[in-house]
Amino acid sequence: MPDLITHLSVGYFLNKPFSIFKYSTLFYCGAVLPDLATRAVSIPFHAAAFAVHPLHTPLGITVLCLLLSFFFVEAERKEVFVSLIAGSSLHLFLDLFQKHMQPGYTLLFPFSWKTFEFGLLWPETIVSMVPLWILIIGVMELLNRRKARDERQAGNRQ
Amino acid sequence: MFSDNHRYIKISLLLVALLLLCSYSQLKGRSMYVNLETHLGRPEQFDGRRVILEDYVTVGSVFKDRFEIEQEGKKIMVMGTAEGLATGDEIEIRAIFHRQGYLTLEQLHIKKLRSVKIIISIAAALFITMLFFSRYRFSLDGFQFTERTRCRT
Repeated sequence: MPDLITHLSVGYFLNKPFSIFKYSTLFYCGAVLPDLATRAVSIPFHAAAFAVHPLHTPLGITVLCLLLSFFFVEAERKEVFVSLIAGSSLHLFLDLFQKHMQPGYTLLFPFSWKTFEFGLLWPETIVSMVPLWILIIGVMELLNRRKARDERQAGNRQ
Repeated sequence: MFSDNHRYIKISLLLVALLLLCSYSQLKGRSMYVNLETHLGRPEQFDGRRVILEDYVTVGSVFKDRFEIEQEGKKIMVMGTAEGLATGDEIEIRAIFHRQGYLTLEQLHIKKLRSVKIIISIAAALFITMLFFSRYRFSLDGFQFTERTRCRT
């Protein structure tokens, strides 16, 4: 897995300029959900790694997002699900770019245990880019706030 | 599909589906999983075969032409060297297993920043949890999350 800051950053870069998702908080939650549901268990408890493995596969994460959406109010449920599944899909897609000695992701689970990944970067290579992501987000946030402030001031003058 | 009709039945069915997926994965996965313990337990079967160890493999003692690795409590000597390898490093390794109880190194990758990755991921997880609970609160009435404000961000 790339680190969660990288996952959140890519989600931010996609969502912030275009405001694609109405529930952006849930889109960001989706972007970290597969790792929260699996690594939070498998890192401290190695023996449970296979038990939580389905939550890092397309089918498993879809069922999990559907389940989570039922804990939101009915009127928002469909969009909650869309936001969560979009974030989770982005997460799984980004993970495919990583390189392992034993290629890693069972995209067709439970129908097949065949693994696939593009295998372009070692996970550590991505971690070293985290300061850059944080810097870009900082600049984007600064520019957005400045723009909003200018618009407010222009509105007040009128 | 997303309506409140039979909501608790839908939740139960989804929970059962997840439990089935997880149970199947645990049973099937454990039966297919081959680690260092498997090799050391059946050395004749794995003699001369290529082995890839990538989960929870740490380096023990490092010598001039060999080093020791440990995976889930099992240790083995690896013949070969790698630049920058140090005791305590977490690694991925591809090697040939020998029934005498050692490995011949083919390829090695040191996971130098793994602990950094875990620490910054924990920070990100805490941040997203705080962000979520700043937007939503859990209502026991209806057993669901509702927005704290009408502002949807």
